Amino acid sequence: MANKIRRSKAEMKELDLTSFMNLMVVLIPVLLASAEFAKIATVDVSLPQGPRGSQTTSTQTQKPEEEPNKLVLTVLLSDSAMTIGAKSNFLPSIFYKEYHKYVSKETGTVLPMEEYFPEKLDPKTMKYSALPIDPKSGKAFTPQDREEIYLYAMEDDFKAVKKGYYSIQFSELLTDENGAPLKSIKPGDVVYALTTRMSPVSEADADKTEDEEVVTRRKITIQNPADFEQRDLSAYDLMKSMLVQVRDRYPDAEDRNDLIIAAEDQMVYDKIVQLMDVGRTANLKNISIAKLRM
Amino acid sequence: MAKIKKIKGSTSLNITSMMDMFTIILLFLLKSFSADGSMLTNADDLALPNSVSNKRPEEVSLQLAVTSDSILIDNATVESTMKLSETVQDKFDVDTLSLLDAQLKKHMRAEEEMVKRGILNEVKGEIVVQVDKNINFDILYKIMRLCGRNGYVNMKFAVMMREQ
Repeated sequence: MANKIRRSKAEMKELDLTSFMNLMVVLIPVLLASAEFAKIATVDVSLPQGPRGSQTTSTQTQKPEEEPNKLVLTVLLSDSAMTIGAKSNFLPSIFYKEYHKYVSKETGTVLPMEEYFPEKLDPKTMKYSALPIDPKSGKAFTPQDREEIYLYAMEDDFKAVKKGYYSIQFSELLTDENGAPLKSIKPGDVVYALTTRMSPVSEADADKTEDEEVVTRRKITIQNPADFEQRDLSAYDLMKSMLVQVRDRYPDAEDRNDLIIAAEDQMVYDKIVQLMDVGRTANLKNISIAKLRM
Repeated sequence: MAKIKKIKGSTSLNITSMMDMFTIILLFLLKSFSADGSMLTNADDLALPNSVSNKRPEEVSLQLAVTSDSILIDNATVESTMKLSETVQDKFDVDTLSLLDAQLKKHMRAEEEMVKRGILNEVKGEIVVQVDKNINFDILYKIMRLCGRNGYVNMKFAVMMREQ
């Protein structure tokens, strides 16, 4: 009896997993190598088509002649202010202060908010002389360690940072009907929230094609003021609010989807990309880039 | 006797948990696998700016990369960035940038040749430009100008997608 049972146990063979293991060993490295961990996207910029090889280029834009039905929306970017121009008039400038977030590639130290002093940048060599020191290694951060650039809108006297109310859940800036940031909120107020990519409407917008308009702001009624908090006002958000306002004011303009970004020579490319993002989320899809002559 | 038999029976390795792990890893990797793959190669010293754009890169014939020290076309260095920034705006057209200019011209001619032979339908003038986020506007402007002059009017700036 005992003998029989033992034999049947011995006959129960284990599954041979060797070939499956071989497959795994091959498949996992292949998939790992092809996996994309950082996703790359593109931002399209079209230059006007001119005769090839000629001296005329897109970037050498002359001041467009005044046409009644053209908006010629322009954002001028310099190292401490952004100005919107439309219909050859200028809106009040947004003065801003710049803060950088540094993440060291060597030690991993993170400095979340370092003030940036534009006057310490040598315009000739493009060397910034006030780079912060990494407390771990004792060495200064390199410009490559700069992870993010934040711009905060300043009061006109350039002494204090402007404040605005943001929704905690979606980071949406609250503005009044005219696009100005709110100074105070109370329950029952009907306000406009400037959409961000966290906004509930953005999911529907994500499926939209290039030509369709996205929702730039939504009307909400404040129920609980605790859902909102006062933060330093981002100059990009203020810019978006102003652009949305100007664009809405001229629904018939031929070029109401166009935006010209004109920057000074020493402006960092990162800021221009951020401005292009602001433009695109404000439905200004055709972005051209110009140079600000000094 | 019985003891020895027991030992004999337990020789095989228990790999159940490892199989579980492999299955999970495999599923995760399959999920993150994209069929079109990455069209762009990223150089080490090139930090792309973050953007909210979610437009996937399309297949484009020409790639231009601008890092803090060199300018590369299709992963081959053609010019140093320093030289480009030193170039005075007014003299810009002459010959200081002959290398980059010549390369762009060469690629444009190749594209036109392909259209003549019917391989391509039209000259699209598309170029993917990967610019380091710390490059200043002056250099960007000069690059755009050169591209525009040589017929590359549809520029695509490569950016990093911000995670949701």
